[in-house]
Formats: sequence, structure tokens, C-alpha cells
Amino acid sequence: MNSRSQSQRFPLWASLYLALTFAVLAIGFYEAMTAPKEATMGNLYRIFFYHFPHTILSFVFPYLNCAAAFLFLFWRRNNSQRALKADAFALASAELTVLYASVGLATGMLWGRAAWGIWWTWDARLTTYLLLWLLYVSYLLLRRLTNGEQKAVLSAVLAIFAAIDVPICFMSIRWWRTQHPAPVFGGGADSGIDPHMLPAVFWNLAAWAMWGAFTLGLRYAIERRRQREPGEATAVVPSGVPQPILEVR
Amino acid sequence: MIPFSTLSERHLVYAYCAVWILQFGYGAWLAVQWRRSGRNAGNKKTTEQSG
Repeated sequence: MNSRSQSQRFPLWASLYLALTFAVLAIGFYEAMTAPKEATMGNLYRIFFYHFPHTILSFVFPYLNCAAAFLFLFWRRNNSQRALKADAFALASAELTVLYASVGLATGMLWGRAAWGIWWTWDARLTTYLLLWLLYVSYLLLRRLTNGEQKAVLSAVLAIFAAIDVPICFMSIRWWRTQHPAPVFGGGADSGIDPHMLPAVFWNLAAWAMWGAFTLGLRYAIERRRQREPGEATAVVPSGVPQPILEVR
Repeated sequence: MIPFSTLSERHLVYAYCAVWILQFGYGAWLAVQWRRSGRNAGNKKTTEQSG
């Protein structure tokens, strides 16, 4: 087998992990479709089984992005190899944030149109969530539209500021009671759902977390390969530090 | 048979389809990028070996 076909294939463990992820996704879908009907919303509430995991995970990826940004800034002058890895991870986690937040917005709007009769309202959760999405879209645009060593530094600073919106957005439905439904989990004495619905919630949370971990790892690996291309590594780390491209691992 | 007669039923189907299209569309794009980057890496190795 030549090196070209080897480098285009997934490793065996990644293929097995992907197969397991699809199996968990299938179980999650089955559980979502067979969970008992909700008393007031009927079948419409089943959107929640996909909306909830995507929204929760869209609050996790920004923290990974923020941690990677901090590590990039910490390492960029004294350990260029680690700095490159942190930058690749920051990009991957920002893309996943935009993807999961897009799904959260889309499923939320589809539910809102059927449940409330409106696609959108400027309530606290929706507004801060849209702001979160815009911040990470702007992060990706910044990376695309800038070049040179400034790109990674500016995007790392933006990532740290953008992460401030995450706790505000998460707590918005606890601090301000506006249009968005109250928190289902950890929202006080009146919160919670029927125990028969819990398997659907947790299987789908596990499934989309597994899928997110797979796509995060794959996106990171692709970015690491791109960094190995000639001329790419010196564009990310400061030019004052010796950066032998061939040593990028 | 997928229920599709009321607005609620349609939006339930749209929501699930939107999730699959966005997620697996992104997954497919990543798979293409992976193959492309692997081709570039393979070409680079072949060039280094012949050089």
C-alpha cells in the first residue's frame, strides 16, 4: 500500500468510533420517536430532543475554543509547535460552535413558528444566542479575510472575548423570564420532564456529543495537515521566532 | 407513513431533516477535505522520496 492511499484513509479506530456514533445516533432517533406524546404540544415537542443537545454542546465548544486561544497566546513565543496545534484546535472548535449554534437556531425557530406562531422574538435567550452565533461567524470570517501572523493572534483575542457571551446566554433564561421556555433541567422545583422521556434526551445528547467529538478531531487533523504545507506554518506563528516548516508535527 | 398534514407535523419533519442536512453535510465536506489533504500529503511524500 502506498503512502498516498494510507494518508487518505481513516485510521481503523476512527472508523470503529464513527460506526459506534451512527449506532448511538440511530438509538437516539428511535428513542425520540417512541417517547410518549407531550400533553399540550403533542408530537411537536420531539424537536426538543435534537434542539437541546445541540444548544448545550454549542455552549461547550466555545470554551474549548477559548482554552485553545489562551494556549496559543501562551505558547506562540516559546513553543511554536504547540502554538500551531492550539491554533488548529481553536479553528476546529469555532467551526463546531457555528455548526451546533446554527442547528440550535434553526430547530428553535421551527419549533417557535409552530408553538408560538412566530419565527423570532427579541427575547433575552434568543438575542444572546444570535449574538453568540454572530461572534463565531465573525471569528471564522476574520480568519478567512486576514493573513500572516496577525490572523492567529487577532482571532485568539476575539475568541477570548466571544466566550464571555456563553455564560450570559446560558443564564439568560434564569435571570430574565421572557418568551423562551424556562430551563427543563436545573430550573427549580417546577422544572424537569416525564422520566419516560429521559432516555431520548440522554441518548441524543450522547450521540451528538460523539458526533461532535469526531468532527472536531477530523477538522483538527485536516488543519494540521494544511499547516504542514509549505509556507503555512510561518504565517501563523511570529516571524521573529525560528520556524522550520519541516519540523511541524 | 410520515405525518405531514399539520404545521406542527411539517415543522417536526423539517427540523429533523435540517439537522441531518447540516450535520452530515458538514461531515461530507470534512471527508472531502480529508481526502484532498491526504492526496497533498501523499504527493509531498512521493516528491520527497524521489528527490
